Amino acid sequence: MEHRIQHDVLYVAIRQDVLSTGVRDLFDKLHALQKDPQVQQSSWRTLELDLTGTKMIDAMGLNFIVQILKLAKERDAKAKILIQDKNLDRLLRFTRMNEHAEVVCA
Amino acid sequence: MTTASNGTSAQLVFTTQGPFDCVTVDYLMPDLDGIELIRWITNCNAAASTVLVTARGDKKVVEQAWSAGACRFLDKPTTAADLVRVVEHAVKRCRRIRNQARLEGDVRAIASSHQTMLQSSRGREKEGVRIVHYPLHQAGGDFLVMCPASETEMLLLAADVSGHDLNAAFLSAYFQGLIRGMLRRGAKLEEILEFFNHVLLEEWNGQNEKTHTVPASIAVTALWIDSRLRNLIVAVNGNPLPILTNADGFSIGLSSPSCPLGWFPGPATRRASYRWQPGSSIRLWTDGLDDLAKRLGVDPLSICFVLQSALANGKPRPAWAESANDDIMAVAINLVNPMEPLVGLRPLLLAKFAKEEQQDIDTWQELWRRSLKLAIPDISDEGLFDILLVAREAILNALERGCKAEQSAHLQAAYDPDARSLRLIVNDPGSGYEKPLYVARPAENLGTVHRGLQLIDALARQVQIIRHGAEMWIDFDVNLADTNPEGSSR
Repeated sequence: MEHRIQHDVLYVAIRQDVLSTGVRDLFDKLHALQKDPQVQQSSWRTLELDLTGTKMIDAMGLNFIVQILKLAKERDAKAKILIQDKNLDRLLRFTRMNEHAEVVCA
Repeated sequence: MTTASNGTSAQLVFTTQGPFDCVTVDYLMPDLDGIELIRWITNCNAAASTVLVTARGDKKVVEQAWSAGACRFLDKPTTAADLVRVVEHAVKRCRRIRNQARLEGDVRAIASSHQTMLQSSRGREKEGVRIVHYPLHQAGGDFLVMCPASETEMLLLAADVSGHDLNAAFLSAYFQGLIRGMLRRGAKLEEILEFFNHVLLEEWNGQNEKTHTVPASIAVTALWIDSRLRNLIVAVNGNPLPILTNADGFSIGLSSPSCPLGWFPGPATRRASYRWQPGSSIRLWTDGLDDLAKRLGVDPLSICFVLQSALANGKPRPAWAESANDDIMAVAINLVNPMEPLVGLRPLLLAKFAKEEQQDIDTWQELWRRSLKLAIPDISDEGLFDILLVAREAILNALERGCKAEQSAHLQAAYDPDARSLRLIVNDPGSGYEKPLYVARPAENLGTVHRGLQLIDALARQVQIIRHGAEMWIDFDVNLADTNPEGSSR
């Protein structure tokens, strides 16, 4: 997982499937990101989660996505999820993640 | 030995007085030259050795002679000792080739006998038994015997003799004869298998110990099918376990296996009895199919499904099956109504997963993906995604909530190609749940909830909860890639 802040956008990219087997590591990285002073002090207004390299998200992976979206929710920022896979589009819609983030299918 | 004064008369002698082991040919002759005569002899009888005798041993002549089929050369002038040495070598070569050809003919004859014996079982196909047999060699050790034991009882015995040589083919024929003879004398399953073991240990391998040859063993799957009582007796020695599948797609592995016959003295086999329900069928195979499944990274049942479907539809052997390293035999038996073809849900996956191996879920999922793609190559991406995600969540749920340490959960998949319907069955040894584990709208408040069951419910066509959730039957409509409507596969 990598992140950067550009203008008022916190950009977070995950270049892998978000699955139970790798989610512990992702949560650790998310905690580190939450404590990053630059992330805390910067005035970003949009969180962009790049999942264009992801092909599958399972239930624990969805819980991880929820945690990331909460990061935006906490500061009343906009959230956007970028995906490429149509199956993920379906998954995020029927789990109603699209009500909490704009889902953009490239 | 005979001589000819020119090429044309050599051809006449060769045709009328042969076969000859060796022909020595001069390069320069009045009518046709030595190269032409050698080419003609090679075309007539490839086993005959030809020796070119020439004073013009330049590179071009040698190359032409090799290409025409000459096996040796003699430079003029030559000595009697050289001539004898070269001719002796050429004669040996010719006899070696002839012996080899004779052996190959014998192998073909044995292979033909082997196929004839299998054909007698293949004749049962109209009775609900489908046999796929891809032997690796012309004569090998896999064999199948189906014999009626009474009006309502039948013995089916699929065996794999160790090795793929003529010895294996001989053993195979010997034991097929034994089985038929013993059955005719009213022998029961155990008696036949015990006698096999005895013969292998005391007579066959006992003799081999004295001659220091490789001992023989036989892997056997034996089914005694009673269609009146709907009873099934199973004994498995060294072969993969056969699978019994009910009409609803639920499968179990049959019997507790014993080692192959010919290994150890004493009771050779453990038999197990089963009652079968209407609509049941059995699949069994020899270990060549297991080896192929491991190499392809798929469940053996998915291979069995594809091979059986190809046989039923008159299609050729799939290209990937050509790469097998062993004989492949796969048998499917319709237990209920032997006159009917196999229909309905057919097993594709049957696997057990230990709680302690949960971290291997990605590897398992890849095996499921490969197996499903092999069995249903035109399944839509969406359909495959849904099935895999649901299988993953269901098995993780079973391992997390239904299994204590050292317990296992089971996943199976069955597919009905006519209805394009796929059923996943997941069960665990737990007692299930008191109340539903998920809420209807899990992302409503961005709460961290148990989303696995919600995914299962949303992606499947139908979910049946059994034993308070310790068992789930999950059905999907399988959309094919070119017919898939936009959006969900639901």
